[in-house]
Amino acid sequence: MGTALDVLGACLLGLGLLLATVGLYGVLRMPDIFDQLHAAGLVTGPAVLVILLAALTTRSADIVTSAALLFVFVLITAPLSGHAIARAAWLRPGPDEDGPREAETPGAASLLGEGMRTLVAYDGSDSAKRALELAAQVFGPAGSIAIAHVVQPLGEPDFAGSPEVEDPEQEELLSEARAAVARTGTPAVTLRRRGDPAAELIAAGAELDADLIVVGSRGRGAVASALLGSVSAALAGGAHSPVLVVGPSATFGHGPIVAGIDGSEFSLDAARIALALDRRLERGFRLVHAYTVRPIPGVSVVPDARAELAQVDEQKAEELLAGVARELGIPEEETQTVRDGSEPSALVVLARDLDAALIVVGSRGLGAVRAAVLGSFSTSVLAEASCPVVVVPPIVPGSALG
Amino acid sequence: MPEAVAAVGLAWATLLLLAGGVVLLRSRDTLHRVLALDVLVSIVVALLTILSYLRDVSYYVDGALALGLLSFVSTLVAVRHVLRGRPS
Repeated sequence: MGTALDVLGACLLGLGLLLATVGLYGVLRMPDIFDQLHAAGLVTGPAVLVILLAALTTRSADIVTSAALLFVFVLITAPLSGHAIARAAWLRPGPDEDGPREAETPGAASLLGEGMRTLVAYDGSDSAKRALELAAQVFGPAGSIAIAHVVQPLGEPDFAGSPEVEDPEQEELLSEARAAVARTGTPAVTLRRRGDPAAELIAAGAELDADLIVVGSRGRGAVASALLGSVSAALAGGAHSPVLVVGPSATFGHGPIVAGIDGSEFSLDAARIALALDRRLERGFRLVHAYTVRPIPGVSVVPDARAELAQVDEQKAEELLAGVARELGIPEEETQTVRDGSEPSALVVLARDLDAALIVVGSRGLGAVRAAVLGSFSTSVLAEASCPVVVVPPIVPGSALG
Repeated sequence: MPEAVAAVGLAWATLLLLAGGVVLLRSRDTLHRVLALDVLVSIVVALLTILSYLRDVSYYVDGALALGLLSFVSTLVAVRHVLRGRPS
């Protein structure tokens, strides 16, 4: 009897933990809050209940009593809090696309005319000013510019006061930005949004069908941006158009547009975007494959073998580059391989030597935390580059901007 | 319940707690954070329950009950704030 109880207890405990694991995995992988709620319900409800059921097998009256009380409590509160969150997600004027939205700015798309549609995120910071200036200079003549400012309603005390009143600070910032763009002779339209900056900018970019989103970056490292939240990183992962990130010390060089490839689909799409940008800006083009020599333990004691391996690596890199160049129809003199200790820094150093106008890289769209842990090529390039960087999010087709 | 089983369960739940932390870090806005905290509290409740099985004392479960109560109330309040704190 005792053994049977023990086995039952172990099974219940295992089942509960398994349910919790599956639920957590779901929360991590599901795209939006409603799907996540479904998975979270598995953790907050069944998983906890099954683990509490295992109390029956402990043979301790105290534990069984307390657990029974908690069991009833969880049975009531888990669905209630889940429902409260779902209701708020549905009713709020929020960044999630599935819920009903507030009335959009009417005909925002028609605000932007012919040519290249550039959306600039502006928050009044120095990096945003630099980004705006650069966008007006470089992309203004090629088309039209929209300036978006996003007020973050949470995070500052914003009690149910008068939500309809215009934000005077927002108006001031936007008119300042419009004046700055007007000085370069480009007309600009302005967009007022409220909510999570990254989500609102992604939505605004999609509405305007923007060809490019321009943001300033404070130049935080990967770990800091994962912890503190980086708008540019979030945009680079989820925007529907290429994102131009202007770092704190980035300047637009006189050289070519440098596109980094590694042979993956993402990098091919990025290269196509770079070609399209080159057609608009006519700066010259350079397709670059940055690679590292694989460190093989033990090989370093045999110098000949090391040189031979390096040669093999170089040959492979050349072949990959030639293949991509053929596919995209790029002449050989516009391609180049470069080798360094790490691929991002090789690309960055080359761009500096060429006095590159822009670096274009693809992004796998990893979240901020995974990018910080696994290392993201685009994040490293962003942190080190001396010129603005265009990050092409994974959902942007290479034919965009065509 | 054999002690070894409870110990393994405790270690597992601790790993889940770490994964819950990742969910919290990845959350993009307030509602995601509320959801992540709700899930985190559930994991802590499970953790405390298993701890009480392991030590064979009941008061960890009582602690879990108090935590669950707090979490329930704060979820409701936070959700209310998301709805009322913004223009609607």
